[in-house]
Amino acid sequence: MPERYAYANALRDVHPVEKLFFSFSLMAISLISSSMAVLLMVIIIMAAVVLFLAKIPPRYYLKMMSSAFVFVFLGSAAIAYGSVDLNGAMFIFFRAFAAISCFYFLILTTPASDIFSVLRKIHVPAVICELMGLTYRFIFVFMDISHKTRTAQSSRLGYDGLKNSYRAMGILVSSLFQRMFRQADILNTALESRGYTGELRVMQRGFKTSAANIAAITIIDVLLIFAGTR
Amino acid sequence: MIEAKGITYKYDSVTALSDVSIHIERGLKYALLGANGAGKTTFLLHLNGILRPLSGKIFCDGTEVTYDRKALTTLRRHVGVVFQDPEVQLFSATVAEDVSFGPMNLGLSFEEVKRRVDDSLNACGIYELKERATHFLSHGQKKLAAIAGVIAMEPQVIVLDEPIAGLDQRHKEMVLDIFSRLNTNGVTLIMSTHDIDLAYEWADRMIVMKDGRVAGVGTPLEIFSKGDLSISKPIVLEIYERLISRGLLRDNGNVPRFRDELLRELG
Repeated sequence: MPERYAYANALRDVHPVEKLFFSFSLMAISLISSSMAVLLMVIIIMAAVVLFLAKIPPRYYLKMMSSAFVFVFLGSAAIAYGSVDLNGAMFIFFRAFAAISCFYFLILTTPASDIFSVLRKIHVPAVICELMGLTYRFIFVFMDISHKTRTAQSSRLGYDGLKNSYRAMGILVSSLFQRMFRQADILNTALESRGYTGELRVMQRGFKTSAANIAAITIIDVLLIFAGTR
Repeated sequence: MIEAKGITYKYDSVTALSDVSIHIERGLKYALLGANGAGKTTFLLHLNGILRPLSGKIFCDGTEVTYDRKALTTLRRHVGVVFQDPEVQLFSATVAEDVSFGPMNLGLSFEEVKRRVDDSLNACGIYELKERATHFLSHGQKKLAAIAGVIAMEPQVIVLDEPIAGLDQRHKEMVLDIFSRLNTNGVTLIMSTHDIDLAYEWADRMIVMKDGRVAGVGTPLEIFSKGDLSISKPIVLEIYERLISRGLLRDNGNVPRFRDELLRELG
């Protein structure tokens, strides 16, 4: 799960705005640029930052990249076959890969909670931030519950054969649905007992902005744009 | 400190509490015993105003709880609740954020919130989990994080709904240690539990509930000398009494509470 690294990587304490800026600006460049060299450079820069600065284990990064590779490769192969435009398909392949690299950088270095705090800071309505936060938290709660339910079902042959599987799956989904309401009820109780009055205010992590980081990102952006227009 | 006077509560048509009156005294440790469905959790949720009795009253420091927003805020500032399942109590992505929720609701300054988050994480021995994602914690760690979230509000009374259920020995001891320390600092504790041996050695007072009613309140010795409450005796007491009735030990009035005390009696 890339999540695990997001909370514990060497760039965890870098300001999330800087990481978002880095990721999105390079993504924009790779979507616009018509230079193969630029696309390759984006891929290389992102890989270098992820591996050497964020210190994500190379094996894990390679695994993530190779699963993306299958999708991107099949997609662009289909285009190459359909349009007989090998050059165009190559471009799409590398463009997609560059954009994916940018996205992977973000999800490997920046936990969702930090991204929510940025959204809060740029005045996205509190309700939306809270909803996103709760949704995110409860994805894991329900994943866990559904996993446990599934195990319990399997141990009583719930998934033995197609017919049983359909039935067990139906029960799993409906029980999850009921659990969801119950869970929401208990959560509300628990929040109320901690003084909840309608707004989920929590302490945000303090981040220091680094002029050096912003300057470095800007220089990389400018260089890439310059390289692309030559 | 907190007093329930004749409270009754129903879930739809099922009576969960009938005519419960209990006076919680400041600084003491209460163990709440009773079978599943006896009304323990329902009673506990009345103590910080989550549930409102259908009849009867709750008093906090002598004033009746009126259930308007201001009264509830005051009550919840006084009385913290640690729920049985930490999974549902934690709602934030990181531990520090979650722990800060209560203090933020108290309207404290940023520095004070920060201090309380750090202090309560330290008190629970999980400071190093501060920036960790809640969903990657173990069950025991989640429990400690949930406790930190309650301690951070610095309540005078803490209600614990089966706090050690499902924990391993190490986390059990950690949780009990946290609360012993708080109690030494004057925090009143009310803990529901099924562990009779623990309740016997831990509690200053015991409350036994049965079918939504209070079957008995008193010191552990008073409760167990009654004998008609349909709860089994703690092993230390059982052995001690057996030894006396067999004439193997002389009754000197010093009834042992801890295993070590009993062993010492045996020489």
